[in-house]
Amino acid sequence: MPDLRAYWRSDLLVGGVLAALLCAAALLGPWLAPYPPERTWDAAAGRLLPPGSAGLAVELRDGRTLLAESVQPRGTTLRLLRLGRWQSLAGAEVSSVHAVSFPLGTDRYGRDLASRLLAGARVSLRIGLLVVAITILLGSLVGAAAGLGPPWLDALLSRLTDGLLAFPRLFLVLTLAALAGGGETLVVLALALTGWMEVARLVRAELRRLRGEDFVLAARAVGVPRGRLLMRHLLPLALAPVIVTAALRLGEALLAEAALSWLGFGVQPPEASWGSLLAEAQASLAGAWWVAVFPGLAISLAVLAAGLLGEGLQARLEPHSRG
Amino acid sequence: MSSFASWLLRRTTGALVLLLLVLSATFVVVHALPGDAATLLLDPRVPPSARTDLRHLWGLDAPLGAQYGRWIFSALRGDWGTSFVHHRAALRVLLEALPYTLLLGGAALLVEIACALPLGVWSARRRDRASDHALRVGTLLVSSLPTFWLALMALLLLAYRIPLFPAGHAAEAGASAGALQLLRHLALPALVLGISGAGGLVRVVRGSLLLAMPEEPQRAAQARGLSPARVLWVHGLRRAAAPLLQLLGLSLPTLLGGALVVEVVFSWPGLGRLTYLALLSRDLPLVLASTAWSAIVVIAGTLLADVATFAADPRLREGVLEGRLA
Repeated sequence: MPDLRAYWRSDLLVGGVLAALLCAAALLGPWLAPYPPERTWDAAAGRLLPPGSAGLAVELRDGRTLLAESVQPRGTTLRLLRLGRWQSLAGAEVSSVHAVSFPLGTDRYGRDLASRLLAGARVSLRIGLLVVAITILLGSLVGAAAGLGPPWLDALLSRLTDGLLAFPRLFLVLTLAALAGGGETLVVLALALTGWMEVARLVRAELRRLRGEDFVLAARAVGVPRGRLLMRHLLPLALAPVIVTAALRLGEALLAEAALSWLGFGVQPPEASWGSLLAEAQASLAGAWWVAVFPGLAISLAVLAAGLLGEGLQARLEPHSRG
Repeated sequence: MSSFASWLLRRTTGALVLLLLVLSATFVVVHALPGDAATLLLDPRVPPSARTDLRHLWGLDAPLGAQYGRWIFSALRGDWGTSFVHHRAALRVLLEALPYTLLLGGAALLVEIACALPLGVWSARRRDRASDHALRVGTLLVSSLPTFWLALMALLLLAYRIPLFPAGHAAEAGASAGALQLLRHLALPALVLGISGAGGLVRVVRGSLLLAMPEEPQRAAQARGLSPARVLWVHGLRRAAAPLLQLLGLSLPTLLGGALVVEVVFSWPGLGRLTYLALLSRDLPLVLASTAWSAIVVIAGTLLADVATFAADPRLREGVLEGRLA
């Protein structure tokens, strides 16, 4: 018999480390990012530079920036090699020259992709976590009402839950988001309103199972009030599956946000989320792989981290549920 | 009435009630939001009188209650309104797109099953060994890839870089191009959608197999001289068929949602792309109709999965497990 605990330990470890790194990147993004995410370096010469590109940024007095491969002072003028040609600039026009590098390349507006990816981590993870928080709250409320309430309420809520579950979620979310106009708040609301059903089902089933247990009957027999019974005895026991599902829902929310923003109904460019970065990448897909590959990898890594955490927690908290 | 017929009747009534519920919800959402089709579709320079005429023509000036009642009743009669953009019956536009989605979904389901069944059985045979866990992490990784991104990557690699497949636009290729051309366009979207869903299904196959065929009967069957492969492939799968079919039915909403983004990436002229385009142009009748029809497809599919479950499990047919599917 192999040591199964080693597997869930490694799940928790890898998932936890990945999640911690991503959260740290999101939290420290503004300090880690090399440049401001919306800064356009040079719309012509800085457009779609491949990963690892470097150059010289020539800042002009009028606020524009030119990216040059090489700069040579020539008396009062400056000669710069830009887009493969030498051009001259009056020295008075230039305020400063400094080196820049783009580890993940630039997008088609000449913005640094690494900085945008970090800014996107902030937005995408914030949306994901908010959605999960509301989902869990809403789902637990409905589940508790159905699991402990009168039979008619249970029937009503269960029908509603099943009804919404039958819908392809993306169709519902899209309809909600597209007709209300997009934006971050709306994405959170649309995803939370269409994502609570599975949590509700889970909480209901768990509470109904617990309701018949001897210790609950005993507590009720000695006169423990309903509210106290729920808060002190039932909910803490139903917590384990809810925590597991929260991790899995997080992955789902991240995927849904990405799809929604990519379709143009979620986070709107120029604001960066991983999904909206992919939406912007669409136009330059054939020529510049990096604008589409890196945001997609970021999403996949975050979802994988959530999945590993979920599986590890499941093995740890609900050892009997595994095959 | 036999138990099967009464169960089917109950199940169908439930499905219809459910549909009505969601149709109403969609209608409320669509109409509660600011900005109607007349404001959106018409150039701002259109004179107000023409605007009023059009609003009247489209029935947008009636009270909400009347619009709702009229919409539900005509929907039941098969009249889903006229598409603002296509200037044709919304239902007709939709029914032209539906076969494409069913074709894509069906092909993707085949790919999904073809990938997941062998891997799931293999995984169940190696239960809790290192290879089982490696496959588990692998399937988790595949499920973590956004479907639309996988589609974009497939397009980038297999249509642009190495032009093995056509880069979408089955719509332009059209019906005139013939079945072979259609299959050529179908291959990549179906592969992407199928592989994207296979990750989850592998786990389900493995789980159902182990649940249906615990270690004891497995060893007993092997003791009678059956090969381990035969035990799982023939005896295990037969017993796991019912829960597997149920879970396949439950995965339909995800499949259809995935079909939406894949259709958009590959310009596949199905229900998902139609909905997307209708949303972009705020074609309200078409949005309402296609959201409703996405549910109809799922509800019908789930019903079909339930019926198949009945057929696959003799214990259910004989009513031994009465109430298990209620």
